[in-house]
Amino acid sequence: MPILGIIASSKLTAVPSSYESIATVTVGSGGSASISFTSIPSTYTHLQVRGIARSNRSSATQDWYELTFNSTSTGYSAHDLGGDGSSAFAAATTNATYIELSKCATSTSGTNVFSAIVIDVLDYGNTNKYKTVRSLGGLDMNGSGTIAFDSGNWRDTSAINTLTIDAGNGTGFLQYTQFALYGIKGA
Amino acid sequence: MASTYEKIATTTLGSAVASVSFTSISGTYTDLVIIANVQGQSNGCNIQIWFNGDGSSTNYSSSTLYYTGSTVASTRNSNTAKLNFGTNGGQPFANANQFGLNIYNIQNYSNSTTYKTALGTSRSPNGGYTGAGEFDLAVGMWRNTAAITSIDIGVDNSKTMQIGSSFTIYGIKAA
Repeated sequence: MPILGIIASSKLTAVPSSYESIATVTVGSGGSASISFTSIPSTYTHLQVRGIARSNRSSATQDWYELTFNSTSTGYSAHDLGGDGSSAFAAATTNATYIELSKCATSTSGTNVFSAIVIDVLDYGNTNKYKTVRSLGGLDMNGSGTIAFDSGNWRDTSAINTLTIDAGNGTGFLQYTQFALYGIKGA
Repeated sequence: MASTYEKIATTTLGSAVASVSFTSISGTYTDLVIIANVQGQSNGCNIQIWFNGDGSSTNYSSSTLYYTGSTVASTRNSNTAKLNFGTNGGQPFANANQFGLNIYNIQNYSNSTTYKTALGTSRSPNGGYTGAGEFDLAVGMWRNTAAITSIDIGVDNSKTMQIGSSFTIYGIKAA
């Protein structure tokens, strides 16, 4: 068995030199109603949000995320393709007040269980395009869980300068939830 | 701002092995990303990952969505000894030039508070177990709050990964 450690060879894939951390939000012991990244600089081509989360929803073991831009609540739609461990599913939302992304852990998901998600926001600064999003997210609870691949659209040509994530059914996120925003530069 | 997406280690197999280990992983990053381009030994070589040498307990579980070329379905693994990514497609084996593409995101790997959740995507082209290839999306959990300091990658059914299979691990550092 090769033991690579941190001194392995380096002849393979090039590391993106234009992938930069913009900001990180970590939820403290009091929880947080929502996650917002404001004053996002326009110097990148794409954005990526990476996180782990747990909403305060107590009525179910899973919740969803609600993604909005520039504090606007119109013009969103989304498609959701996923699996719950026994069946595949697909769903869509139109003319919504947010982009629905799957799935978020909740206060009843089990001790220490957090969902994970990676969200890509393409050409966020372009003022000639509606904005398109995709995400891969889910959680597993050793006997139940969901994996989902989502896409979303915001029918607005404005450059995105604020990105907000809310809990779907819950009213906020619990401690240790963390989202990090990254910018990816074009050539 | 400094670049925050850094390569930690990489290797390309010069001989068939049962598993590859990344050890002494620094806790200075926020997330880890592994890109594994893998050729299996024969039918049913599905990728498995395990952390900190914990490869014999029952601390892992996963939920998977997969498409075989004709069927979309979902399946689950509970109380497994290793984290199973991929369910029945396996890595390709029938053609010496054919390798499967596997990308794994291991979120917040170094905190000592939460169980660890990983997201995976796998594409096994023609030549896998089904003969038609398979596409998998998966989420897995390791029911352990320990910071991850080592990662092993192998395939199930006591098979090996073949010459030319490559593995690269990256660290992503949040602000």
